[in-house]
Amino acid sequence: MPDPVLTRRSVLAGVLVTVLGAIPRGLPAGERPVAKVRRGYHKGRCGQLHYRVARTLAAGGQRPLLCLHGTPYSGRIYESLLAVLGTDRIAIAADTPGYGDSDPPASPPSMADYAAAIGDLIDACRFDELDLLGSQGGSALAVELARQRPQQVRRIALLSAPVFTRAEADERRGQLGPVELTAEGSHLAAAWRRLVGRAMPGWTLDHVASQFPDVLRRPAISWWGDKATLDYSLADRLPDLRQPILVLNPQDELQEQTRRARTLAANIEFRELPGWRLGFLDIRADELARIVRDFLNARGA
Amino acid sequence: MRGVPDMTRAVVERQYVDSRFGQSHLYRAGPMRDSGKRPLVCFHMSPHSGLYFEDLLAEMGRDRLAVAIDTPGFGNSDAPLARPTIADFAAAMGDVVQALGIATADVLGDHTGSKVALEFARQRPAQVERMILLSLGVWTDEESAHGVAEAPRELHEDGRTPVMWWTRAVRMSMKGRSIDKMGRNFFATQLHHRTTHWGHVAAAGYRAQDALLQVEKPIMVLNPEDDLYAITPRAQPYLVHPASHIRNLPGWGPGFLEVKTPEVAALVRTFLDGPNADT
Repeated sequence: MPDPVLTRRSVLAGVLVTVLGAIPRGLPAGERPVAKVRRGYHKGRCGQLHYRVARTLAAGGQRPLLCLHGTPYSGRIYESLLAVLGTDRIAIAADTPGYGDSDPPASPPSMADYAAAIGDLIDACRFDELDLLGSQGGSALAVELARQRPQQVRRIALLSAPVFTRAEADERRGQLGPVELTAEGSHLAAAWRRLVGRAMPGWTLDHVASQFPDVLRRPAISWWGDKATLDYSLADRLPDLRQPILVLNPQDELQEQTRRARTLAANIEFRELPGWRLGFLDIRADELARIVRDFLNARGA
Repeated sequence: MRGVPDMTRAVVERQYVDSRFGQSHLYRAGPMRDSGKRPLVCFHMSPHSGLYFEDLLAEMGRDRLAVAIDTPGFGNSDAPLARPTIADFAAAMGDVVQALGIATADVLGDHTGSKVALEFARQRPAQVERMILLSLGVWTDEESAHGVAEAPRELHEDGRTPVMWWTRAVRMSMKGRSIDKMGRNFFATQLHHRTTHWGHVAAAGYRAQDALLQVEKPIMVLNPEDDLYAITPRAQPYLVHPASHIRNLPGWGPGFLEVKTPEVAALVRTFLDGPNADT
């Protein structure tokens, strides 16, 4: 049987149809506007790259926004935010290669490798310019993407910035490695309790259960993203960027490291988010969307 | 950055298509050129996803298009808004097969997927040639009523729910199934925790006996030594086509699709492509 779906041209067309032609969802009277989040694949240098995209017919005018997750999560963390931000722009969240539903690279990539792979999706979308939103390790990825594409990337918002000292990076690097699976499931209990322990009030066990499966994906290589982040010196790279940068500092495990970004460059706007812990992307999606919109839509980009 | 491809396996890729419940997600593998063989469409057990068939797709995809569809509400496929029946699942699968442009196919189901396969063939008799069912819950009315009572999973702060699912899977798996292999697929059993019981509820409410009598297709029922080992043979009196039969697989248990992939593929090919395949 012919397989028209897997030709290069149709794959590119598929991305454009999914990203630019997503079906809008009607807005019931009295409800807050949200956009339908759809999913798709793009075939790039690391194999299939999975993404989520939200937009409505009304989405015009504002630059597209590409969201990059921390590891070992996936673009799933942005589903609530995409639904809100997709009402006035194309909002995309990519699964980094090796995470979520994106194919893994053959060997541990550098941050430059990850950025190049995500760049394939940007090219397929044919965006002339776009904004970036990164979270934790995804913040380093956003910075590297902006470095590789200085003309295309206009504004950058970072949710936590892993600005490690050399000593911190060395220490954390020594702790990296495959997740050891045990017959009695202790690795599962540990992963579950880690999420529960980091959750902010209001982020329920239902939320934890929704996020949990992504933490379990590819236990042998789920540390690769952390390695790339530790090998990537944000302290050296952030000052290179000329784009306006917003650094938001939630009360997570990177709070101290993120604070170091404040003084790295004059084009960095910094804001503390006390009390915002794991789960704020879901339960503070509207408030976060307002903060991000105010920054992304400001003049001077 | 990609490794050297394994030429002995077909590449398994993923894809979304639209169906009546939203986006449906599938895994697919196939030869570079049309082999003339009918496509094989696979329906998975619940919970789980089409990923469960990854090894079999890579093997069968060497000489035909092999597809495994995530049932609505499982894997990456959008869930129905209300609790579905097997007929709803099968109708959505029909949407997917149509979207893929498949005119006629052989179908393979596993547990809940066996019932989806039966119902798919009942709804679209002209599109199905041959069927393979891996375990089949042929339930009495009393047993069905018990299954319908299933409820959503309970969640606890200490994470005992996924641990319970994992240890049960470890305990039930057949010899030779490695923990690393289990770790590859386990996440799929933890998706959609609020509605994942819908699969078992739908399966329990579906009378396989009636469907078997209506589906006049050659059916090979494979009966591994799993939770349905004593139940699956109840299908025998309802197999109406002369080429239909049940084959017991003693010693094969959960995980045999991974541990015994070449053997399963040989059984499947013999039945689908053998000298009597056109009966």
